Amino acid sequence: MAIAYKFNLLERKKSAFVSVAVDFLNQYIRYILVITELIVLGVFFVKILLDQRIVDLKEGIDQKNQIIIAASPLIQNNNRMAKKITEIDTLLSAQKSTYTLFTTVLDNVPSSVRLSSFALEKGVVDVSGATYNAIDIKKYEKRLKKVLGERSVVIKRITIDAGKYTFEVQIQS
Amino acid sequence: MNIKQRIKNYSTASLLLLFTSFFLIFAIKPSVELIVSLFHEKDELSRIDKTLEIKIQNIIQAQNTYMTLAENIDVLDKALPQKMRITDIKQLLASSSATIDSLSIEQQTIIPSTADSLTPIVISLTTQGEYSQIKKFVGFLIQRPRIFTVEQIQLGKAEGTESAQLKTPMIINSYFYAPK
Repeated sequence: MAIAYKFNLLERKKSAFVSVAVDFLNQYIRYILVITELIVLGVFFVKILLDQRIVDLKEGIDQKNQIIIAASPLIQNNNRMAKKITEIDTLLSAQKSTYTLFTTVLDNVPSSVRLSSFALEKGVVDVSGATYNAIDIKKYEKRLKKVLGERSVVIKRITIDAGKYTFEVQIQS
Repeated sequence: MNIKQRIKNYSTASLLLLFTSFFLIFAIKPSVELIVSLFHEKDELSRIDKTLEIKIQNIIQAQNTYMTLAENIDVLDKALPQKMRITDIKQLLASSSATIDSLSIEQQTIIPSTADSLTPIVISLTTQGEYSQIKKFVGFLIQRPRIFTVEQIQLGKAEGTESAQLKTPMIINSYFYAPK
């Protein structure tokens, strides 16, 4: 009696998931890996360039800081000098303004006017005087306004006594 | 499309998503973040570098200006000396042609400060003379290398005189620039 053997030459059937995973690995993972590697490599090269640039910048900044620290006495001295020049400028302006006020008020007095008092304080001048000609008070005011400006002259008071006009004027520069 | 084929398609898509996400999250994202942060750092450092460059240029310019003006520094020191130098003020006033009846100079106490400070020296004086002489005296004061400012001036007729003599009380300030 002949012996019967059973042969199955067909490949054993794999489960669905394993088959999908193998297919996937074969087809797609290489692209993902290659793209990732390309990106990481690109980043690596850019990082090298940026690192080099950053190191150069840091060195440059350190050197510049050293220069500025070394120049700090000079800067302080210059600042002090600049402040002093500003102070001098302010004082000279005040000096010029006061002198102009002083000379303008006194040099422009009409010949018929006699001043009885003159007081200059903090850029304001109070003048009082008298004249027999009222027009000269107006003339005096006009002269002062011409030099010092329209708003600079204020006639505070005018009185008349026996034909003599007494006045008080306030002038500021 | 049969069920097996559909399962295969979905599984492939899921795996693709999974792997892509994994590499995106753990490889690409940190790399991109690193590059972005490095760019930011580079920009910040470039900005600082540029600012310092400008500052150094300004220092060089200031140095050049200082060197140009160096010969005039003594003019500034004469205008605003670092000490009161009251004797100098007295000598200067005595050298004027005006008749000075009285003179008093207020002594200033120098208070230590954190910065240089401008301190006035108050000088009260009374002069006597005609208007032209008073004007000349004021002109004399403002033409001095040292700065004098007229704070108060009063013109009034001198007592007991019939001529145009004026008695002029004045308050003038001189200054010194006390170093810190």
